[in-house]
Amino acid sequence: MQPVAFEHIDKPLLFVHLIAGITCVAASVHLLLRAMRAYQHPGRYTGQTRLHAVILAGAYLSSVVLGGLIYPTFRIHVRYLLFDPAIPWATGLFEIKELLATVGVIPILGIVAFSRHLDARVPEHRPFFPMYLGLIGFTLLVVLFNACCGWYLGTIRSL
Amino acid sequence: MRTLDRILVVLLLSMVGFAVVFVAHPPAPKYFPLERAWHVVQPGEGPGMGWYGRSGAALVAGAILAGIAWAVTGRKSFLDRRGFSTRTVSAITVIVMATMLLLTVVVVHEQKSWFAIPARPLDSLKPDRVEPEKTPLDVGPNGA
Repeated sequence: MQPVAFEHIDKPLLFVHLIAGITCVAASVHLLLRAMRAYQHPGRYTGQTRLHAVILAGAYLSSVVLGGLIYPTFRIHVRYLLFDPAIPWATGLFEIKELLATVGVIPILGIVAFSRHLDARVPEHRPFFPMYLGLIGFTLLVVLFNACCGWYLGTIRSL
Repeated sequence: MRTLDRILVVLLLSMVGFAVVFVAHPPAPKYFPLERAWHVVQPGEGPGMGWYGRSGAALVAGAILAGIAWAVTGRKSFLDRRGFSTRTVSAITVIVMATMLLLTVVVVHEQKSWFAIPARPLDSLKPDRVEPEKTPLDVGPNGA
Protein backbone atom coordinates (compact mmCIF):
# COMPACT_ATOMS: atom_id res chain seq x y z
CA MET A 1 0.00 0.00 0.00
CA GLN A 2 1.52 3.35 -1.01
CA PRO A 3 1.77 6.00 1.72
CA VAL A 4 -1.05 8.52 1.97
CA ALA A 5 -0.61 12.25 2.36
CA PHE A 6 1.30 13.34 5.49
CA GLU A 7 1.71 9.73 6.61
CA HIS A 8 5.46 10.23 7.10
CA ILE A 9 4.86 12.94 9.74
CA ASP A 10 1.61 11.63 11.21
CA LYS A 11 2.99 11.06 14.73
CA PRO A 12 4.33 14.62 15.25
CA LEU A 13 1.13 16.05 13.79
CA LEU A 14 -0.95 13.86 16.08
CA PHE A 15 1.08 14.98 19.08
CA VAL A 16 0.56 18.68 18.29
CA HIS A 17 -3.13 17.91 17.64
CA LEU A 18 -3.29 16.42 21.14
CA ILE A 19 -1.60 19.46 22.70
CA ALA A 20 -3.95 21.79 20.83
CA GLY A 21 -6.94 19.74 22.03
CA ILE A 22 -5.83 19.91 25.67
CA THR A 23 -5.28 23.66 25.28
CA CYS A 24 -8.80 24.01 23.87
CA VAL A 25 -10.36 22.34 26.90
CA ALA A 26 -8.30 24.36 29.36
CA ALA A 27 -8.82 27.67 27.57
CA SER A 28 -12.58 27.20 27.17
CA VAL A 29 -13.05 26.34 30.86
CA HIS A 30 -10.98 29.35 31.89
CA LEU A 31 -12.77 31.60 29.42
CA LEU A 32 -16.23 30.55 30.59
CA LEU A 33 -15.36 31.18 34.25
CA ARG A 34 -13.67 34.51 33.53
CA ALA A 35 -16.51 35.68 31.28
CA MET A 36 -19.07 34.87 33.97
CA ARG A 37 -17.01 36.78 36.53
CA ALA A 38 -16.55 39.66 34.11
CA TYR A 39 -20.34 39.88 33.88
CA GLN A 40 -20.77 39.74 37.67
CA HIS A 41 -17.92 42.18 38.39
CA PRO A 42 -17.90 44.78 35.61
CA GLY A 43 -14.48 46.19 34.84
CA ARG A 44 -12.58 43.14 35.98
CA TYR A 45 -11.31 40.11 34.05
CA THR A 46 -11.80 41.83 30.67
CA GLY A 47 -8.14 41.51 29.68
CA GLN A 48 -8.07 37.88 30.76
CA THR A 49 -11.14 36.99 28.71
CA ARG A 50 -9.53 38.57 25.64
CA LEU A 51 -6.36 36.58 26.17
CA HIS A 52 -8.21 33.29 26.77
CA ALA A 53 -10.40 33.88 23.71
CA VAL A 54 -7.36 34.33 21.47
CA ILE A 55 -5.66 31.26 22.96
CA LEU A 56 -8.85 29.23 22.51
CA ALA A 57 -9.29 30.34 18.91
CA GLY A 58 -5.66 29.62 18.04
CA ALA A 59 -5.74 26.19 19.67
CA TYR A 60 -9.12 25.30 18.17
CA LEU A 61 -8.26 26.30 14.62
CA SER A 62 -4.86 24.59 14.89
CA SER A 63 -6.54 21.46 16.15
CA VAL A 64 -9.02 21.43 13.26
CA VAL A 65 -6.30 22.03 10.65
CA LEU A 66 -3.98 19.41 12.15
CA GLY A 67 -6.87 16.96 12.39
CA GLY A 68 -7.51 17.58 8.69
CA LEU A 69 -3.88 16.84 7.88
CA ILE A 70 -3.75 13.51 9.74
CA TYR A 71 -7.23 12.48 8.64
CA PRO A 72 -6.11 10.72 5.38
CA THR A 73 -3.74 8.43 7.31
CA PHE A 74 -6.39 7.78 9.93
CA ARG A 75 -9.00 7.18 7.21
CA ILE A 76 -6.96 4.37 5.70
CA HIS A 77 -5.02 2.75 8.54
CA VAL A 78 -7.65 3.01 11.27
CA ARG A 79 -11.09 3.67 9.84
CA TYR A 80 -10.97 1.74 6.60
CA LEU A 81 -9.08 -1.27 7.97
CA LEU A 82 -10.60 -1.55 11.43
CA PHE A 83 -13.43 0.78 12.41
CA ASP A 84 -15.63 0.47 9.30
CA PRO A 85 -15.55 -3.35 8.98
CA ALA A 86 -15.34 -4.35 12.64
CA ILE A 87 -16.49 -1.61 15.01
CA PRO A 88 -18.80 0.70 13.06
CA TRP A 89 -19.96 2.55 16.17
CA ALA A 90 -16.39 3.85 16.46
CA THR A 91 -16.72 5.31 12.96
CA GLY A 92 -20.01 6.93 13.99
CA LEU A 93 -18.37 8.44 17.06
CA PHE A 94 -15.44 9.70 14.99
CA GLU A 95 -17.71 11.25 12.35
CA ILE A 96 -19.72 13.06 15.02
CA LYS A 97 -16.45 14.38 16.47
CA GLU A 98 -15.21 15.64 13.11
CA LEU A 99 -18.46 17.27 12.05
CA LEU A 100 -19.00 18.94 15.44
CA ALA A 101 -15.49 20.38 15.19
CA THR A 102 -16.55 22.06 11.94
CA VAL A 103 -19.79 23.34 13.49
CA GLY A 104 -17.69 24.97 16.23
CA VAL A 105 -15.57 27.12 13.90
CA ILE A 106 -18.01 30.04 13.49
CA PRO A 107 -18.83 30.21 17.24
CA ILE A 108 -15.07 30.40 17.92
CA LEU A 109 -14.70 33.41 15.63
CA GLY A 110 -17.77 34.96 17.27
CA ILE A 111 -16.17 34.51 20.70
CA VAL A 112 -13.02 36.35 19.59
CA ALA A 113 -15.05 39.19 18.07
CA PHE A 114 -17.23 39.61 21.16
CA SER A 115 -14.29 39.35 23.56
CA ARG A 116 -12.59 42.30 21.85
CA HIS A 117 -15.60 44.61 22.09
CA LEU A 118 -17.71 43.54 25.07
CA ASP A 119 -17.35 45.62 28.21
CA ALA A 120 -19.61 44.71 31.14
CA ARG A 121 -19.30 48.27 32.52
CA VAL A 122 -21.33 49.61 29.59
CA PRO A 123 -25.04 48.99 30.27
CA GLU A 124 -25.83 48.64 26.54
CA HIS A 125 -23.32 45.80 26.25
CA ARG A 126 -24.81 43.63 28.97
CA PRO A 127 -27.63 42.14 26.81
CA PHE A 128 -24.92 40.63 24.60
CA PHE A 129 -23.49 38.54 27.42
CA PRO A 130 -25.98 35.64 27.08
CA MET A 131 -24.85 35.22 23.46
CA TYR A 132 -21.19 35.44 24.46
CA LEU A 133 -21.59 32.93 27.30
CA GLY A 134 -23.74 30.65 25.11
CA LEU A 135 -21.05 30.55 22.41
CA ILE A 136 -18.39 29.73 25.01
CA GLY A 137 -20.61 27.08 26.62
CA PHE A 138 -21.30 25.43 23.28
CA THR A 139 -17.60 25.46 22.43
CA LEU A 140 -16.73 23.97 25.80
CA LEU A 141 -19.18 21.10 25.25
CA VAL A 142 -17.81 20.46 21.75
CA VAL A 143 -14.15 20.43 22.83
CA LEU A 144 -14.93 18.26 25.87
CA PHE A 145 -16.84 15.76 23.74
CA ASN A 146 -14.14 15.76 21.07
CA ALA A 147 -11.33 15.37 23.60
CA CYS A 148 -13.07 12.43 25.28
CA CYS A 149 -13.90 10.80 21.91
CA GLY A 150 -10.40 11.35 20.58
CA TRP A 151 -8.86 9.81 23.68
CA TYR A 152 -11.24 6.85 23.70
CA LEU A 153 -10.89 6.07 20.00
CA GLY A 154 -7.13 6.36 20.39
CA THR A 155 -7.24 3.61 23.02
CA ILE A 156 -8.82 1.31 20.42
CA ARG A 157 -6.33 2.13 17.68
CA SER A 158 -4.41 5.20 16.78
CA LEU A 159 -2.11 6.11 13.91
CA MET B 1 -25.64 50.75 14.92
CA ARG B 2 -22.84 49.68 17.26
CA THR B 3 -19.99 47.33 16.49
CA LEU B 4 -21.59 44.70 18.73
CA ASP B 5 -24.81 44.90 16.70
CA ARG B 6 -22.80 44.39 13.53
CA ILE B 7 -21.04 41.38 15.04
CA LEU B 8 -24.41 39.98 16.03
CA VAL B 9 -25.77 40.35 12.48
CA VAL B 10 -22.62 38.83 11.00
CA LEU B 11 -22.78 35.91 13.42
CA LEU B 12 -26.46 35.32 12.71
CA LEU B 13 -26.12 35.35 8.93
CA SER B 14 -22.90 33.34 8.83
CA MET B 15 -24.37 30.73 11.17
CA VAL B 16 -27.56 30.44 9.12
CA GLY B 17 -25.61 30.29 5.84
CA PHE B 18 -23.30 27.66 7.26
CA ALA B 19 -26.25 25.63 8.58
CA VAL B 20 -28.17 25.70 5.30
CA VAL B 21 -25.22 24.45 3.24
CA PHE B 22 -24.14 21.99 5.92
CA VAL B 23 -27.60 20.41 6.15
CA ALA B 24 -28.35 20.59 2.41
CA HIS B 25 -25.05 18.80 1.80
CA PRO B 26 -24.64 19.86 -1.89
CA PRO B 27 -22.24 17.86 -4.11
CA ALA B 28 -18.73 18.79 -3.10
CA PRO B 29 -15.31 17.41 -4.02
CA LYS B 30 -14.36 14.19 -2.24
CA TYR B 31 -10.78 13.30 -1.47
CA PHE B 32 -9.55 9.77 -2.16
CA PRO B 33 -6.42 9.26 -0.06
CA LEU B 34 -5.23 6.05 -1.76
CA GLU B 35 -5.41 7.74 -5.13
CA ARG B 36 -4.36 11.15 -3.75
CA ALA B 37 -7.00 12.76 -5.95
CA TRP B 38 -10.21 14.77 -5.69
CA HIS B 39 -13.42 13.74 -7.45
CA VAL B 40 -16.79 15.42 -7.50
CA VAL B 41 -18.93 12.99 -9.45
CA GLN B 42 -17.24 9.72 -10.33
CA PRO B 43 -16.14 7.43 -7.52
CA GLY B 44 -12.43 7.16 -6.94
CA GLU B 45 -10.22 4.30 -5.90
CA GLY B 46 -10.65 3.15 -2.31
CA PRO B 47 -12.48 4.96 0.45
CA GLY B 48 -13.46 8.58 -0.04
CA MET B 49 -13.44 11.49 2.37
CA GLY B 50 -16.34 13.91 2.16
CA TRP B 51 -15.54 15.87 5.31
CA TYR B 52 -13.20 18.35 3.59
CA GLY B 53 -15.65 19.24 0.85
CA ARG B 54 -18.68 19.46 3.06
CA SER B 55 -16.92 21.49 5.75
CA GLY B 56 -15.27 23.73 3.17
CA ALA B 57 -18.52 24.43 1.32
CA ALA B 58 -20.40 25.26 4.53
CA LEU B 59 -17.61 27.48 5.87
CA VAL B 60 -17.26 29.31 2.55
CA ALA B 61 -21.03 29.96 2.54
CA GLY B 62 -20.80 31.28 6.09
CA ALA B 63 -17.80 33.46 5.20
CA ILE B 64 -19.52 34.93 2.13
CA LEU B 65 -22.62 35.84 4.11
CA ALA B 66 -20.46 37.23 6.93
CA GLY B 67 -18.60 39.44 4.47
CA ILE B 68 -21.82 40.70 2.91
CA ALA B 69 -23.36 41.36 6.34
CA TRP B 70 -20.26 43.23 7.54
CA ALA B 71 -20.15 45.35 4.38
CA VAL B 72 -23.87 46.17 4.39
CA THR B 73 -24.04 47.03 8.10
CA GLY B 74 -20.95 49.24 7.66
CA ARG B 75 -22.77 51.60 5.32
CA LYS B 76 -23.64 55.02 6.70
CA SER B 77 -27.36 54.43 6.47
CA PHE B 78 -26.98 51.48 8.83
CA LEU B 79 -24.38 53.05 11.11
CA ASP B 80 -26.68 56.03 11.75
CA ARG B 81 -29.47 53.79 12.99
CA ARG B 82 -30.12 53.16 16.64
CA GLY B 83 -28.63 50.03 18.15
CA PHE B 84 -30.67 46.87 18.61
CA SER B 85 -33.07 46.72 21.52
CA THR B 86 -32.55 44.16 24.27
CA ARG B 87 -35.44 42.16 22.84
CA THR B 88 -33.84 42.01 19.38
CA VAL B 89 -30.50 40.97 20.85
CA SER B 90 -32.26 38.24 22.84
CA ALA B 91 -34.16 37.03 19.77
CA ILE B 92 -30.98 36.79 17.69
CA THR B 93 -29.26 35.00 20.56
CA VAL B 94 -32.04 32.42 20.67
CA ILE B 95 -31.90 31.90 16.88
CA VAL B 96 -28.12 31.41 16.87
CA MET B 97 -28.24 29.03 19.85
CA ALA B 98 -31.10 27.08 18.28
CA THR B 99 -29.15 26.81 15.02
CA MET B 100 -26.12 25.40 16.82
CA LEU B 101 -28.33 22.95 18.70
CA LEU B 102 -30.09 21.95 15.47
CA LEU B 103 -26.76 21.33 13.75
CA THR B 104 -25.67 19.13 16.65
CA VAL B 105 -28.88 17.10 16.38
CA VAL B 106 -28.46 16.79 12.60
CA VAL B 107 -24.88 15.57 13.00
CA VAL B 108 -25.85 12.91 15.54
CA HIS B 109 -28.91 11.89 13.52
CA GLU B 110 -26.86 11.48 10.32
CA GLN B 111 -24.41 9.14 12.02
CA LYS B 112 -26.85 7.00 13.95
CA SER B 113 -26.84 4.27 11.30
CA TRP B 114 -23.23 3.46 12.24
CA PHE B 115 -24.40 2.54 15.72
CA ALA B 116 -27.05 0.15 14.38
CA ILE B 117 -24.51 -2.09 12.61
CA PRO B 118 -23.37 -4.92 14.86
CA ALA B 119 -19.67 -5.05 15.62
CA ARG B 120 -17.61 -7.99 14.35
CA PRO B 121 -14.97 -9.88 16.28
CA LEU B 122 -11.58 -8.35 15.64
CA ASP B 123 -9.89 -11.68 14.92
CA SER B 124 -12.13 -12.10 11.85
CA LEU B 125 -10.20 -9.29 10.14
CA LYS B 126 -7.11 -9.77 8.06
CA PRO B 127 -4.03 -8.22 9.65
CA ASP B 128 -3.37 -4.85 8.04
CA ARG B 129 0.25 -4.62 9.08
CA VAL B 130 2.82 -7.36 8.68
CA GLU B 131 4.34 -8.27 12.02
CA PRO B 132 8.13 -7.91 11.96
CA GLU B 133 10.09 -11.10 12.15
CA LYS B 134 11.35 -11.95 15.60
CA THR B 135 14.97 -11.09 16.18
CA PRO B 136 17.32 -13.15 18.37
CA LEU B 137 16.77 -10.55 21.10
CA ASP B 138 12.98 -11.15 21.03
CA VAL B 139 13.42 -14.90 20.99
CA GLY B 140 15.98 -15.00 23.76
CA PRO B 141 18.98 -17.28 24.28
CA ASN B 142 16.87 -20.35 24.98
CA GLY B 143 14.53 -19.81 22.05
CA ALA B 144 11.62 -19.01 24.43
